[in-house]
Amino acid sequence: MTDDLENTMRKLYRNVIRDLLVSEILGHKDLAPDYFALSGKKQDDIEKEIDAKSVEISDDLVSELKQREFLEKQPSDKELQDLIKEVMRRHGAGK
Amino acid sequence: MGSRRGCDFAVFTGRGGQVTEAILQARKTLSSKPARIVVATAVDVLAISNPSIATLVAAYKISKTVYQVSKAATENYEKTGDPKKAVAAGVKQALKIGVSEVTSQTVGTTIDISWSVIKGAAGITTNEFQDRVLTSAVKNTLG
Repeated sequence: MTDDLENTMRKLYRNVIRDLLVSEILGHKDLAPDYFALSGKKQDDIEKEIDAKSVEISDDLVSELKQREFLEKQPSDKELQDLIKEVMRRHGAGK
Repeated sequence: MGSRRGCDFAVFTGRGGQVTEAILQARKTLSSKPARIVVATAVDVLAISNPSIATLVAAYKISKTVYQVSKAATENYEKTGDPKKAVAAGVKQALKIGVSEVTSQTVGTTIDISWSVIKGAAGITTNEFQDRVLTSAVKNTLG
């Protein structure tokens, strides 16, 4: 059961994280004009990197959720928020 | 990616000082740094944006609910052998969604119809932007 849930969660997180990153870069009034001024190649590179990063973060996040037995148990919102922030920071530029 | 321009991420994240600073940093990297750094900097913005973190918390709850719903619908399909009946039953009961045997369009329609019930079952409250991100993710996950 947990394997199927794990796969569902992994796929869903991949899509949500990708959409959030795309929305941030293309949907932010301060970033979008600069993005569209980039060369086609740079835009393609960023899009590929967003896809790769979404997979990387979702895999890491779901592995952490599994390790903490959060697939079976129901963590509090605070526990989830803290874990998500920790994983996101791990994949950010600031590290 | 151009078709996804519709939302206003600045409105979604608000105008907190820390987020504004991180967006400025992301803007600096866009033209001058490699894609790897641009995206990592964009991740930093998500990590400090409360609405983004809330969306990711909601995604956890939604995925658990969607898993239960799709499992039930798959069992329904295995019994009836009819994807349309499985989806119709899903819509009627609002908690049974066909997965692999139905077209993505049908899955999408079912998600749209059942979304408020799925949210209720998951115990989450979302705004319009989060609804768009989460329903799109659920459709892509199941479709």
